[in-house]
Amino acid sequence: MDRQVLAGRYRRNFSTLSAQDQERLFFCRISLVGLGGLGGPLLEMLARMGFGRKGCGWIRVADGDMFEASNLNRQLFCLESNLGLPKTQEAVKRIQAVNSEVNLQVHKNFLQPEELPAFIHGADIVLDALGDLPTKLALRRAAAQAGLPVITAAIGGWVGFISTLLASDRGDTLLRIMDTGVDGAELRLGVLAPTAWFVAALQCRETVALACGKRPLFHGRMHIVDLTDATWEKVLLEEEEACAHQPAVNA
Amino acid sequence: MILEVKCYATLVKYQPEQKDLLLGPQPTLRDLIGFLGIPEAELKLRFVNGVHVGLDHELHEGDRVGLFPAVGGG
Repeated sequence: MDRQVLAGRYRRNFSTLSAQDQERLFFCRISLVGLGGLGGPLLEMLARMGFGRKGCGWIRVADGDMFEASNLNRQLFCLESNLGLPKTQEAVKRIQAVNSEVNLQVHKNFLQPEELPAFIHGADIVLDALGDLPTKLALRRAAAQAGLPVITAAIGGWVGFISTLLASDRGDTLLRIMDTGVDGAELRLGVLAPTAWFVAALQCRETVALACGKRPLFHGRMHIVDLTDATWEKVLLEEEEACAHQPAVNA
Repeated sequence: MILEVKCYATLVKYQPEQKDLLLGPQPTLRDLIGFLGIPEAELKLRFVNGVHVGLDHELHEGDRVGLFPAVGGG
């Protein structure tokens, strides 16, 4: 690579990131599931930030899907010219063009629940960019069992949320709330580029916080962003645990 | 009772037009949800003043209530 590119690439990361922080990103190992509306911009932001540098760390991604016309409205790697092609293959091309220093490993198939432990094995951080609730919840379970932090996000229409589960957490309230077999709002409201990219940016921000050993921004609370009216709600999830011990609650 | 209610995403259709709601004495979150006509199955997360609470949580004048459905898109 051009030496000037190499020298200049991370210059504008400083001094918001320290040299030590930048090095932590290089050495970070990330398992990212899903390369759609959230996963595409998230992967690109990780690559531009310098995560998973060759010889230091890695970024492992999984998606068994091919691009189709309905992805064009929001998915960063989806082009008119690559419809019908595998998302992982197109992600490799894009990331190679953006930052060839990234050690990007791809899993070209849809992950089955039993494959999740192997996929996240060895990672420092698990990123949930999946587009359906049952698989999202399976990934959170697998991450919790492996003792790994997982940053979950989801979107539907103009609304998105993000919440981080840490290995030290005793329970997973979010999983219990959402695990009910009901269709997600996205099936009726669709998914839009501004919501997807905005929430993916929050996931990347949180990944930096965790990788650099800083206090996570979205832990213990579910942050709900509504781009209909520019509201942002931080919901404490633990309180229900206490309420559940009172008689008559959830009866 | 004056409440600040916000219904998210697919629940927007249940958003009350007024803040002053006729809920009777000592209403609970369940009473509010019944008043708005929201089927319990559609509601996944309900929070009052930024805290996720059970359906029997008692509401008070001026509470901020958020009602949120299942959301899982990516």
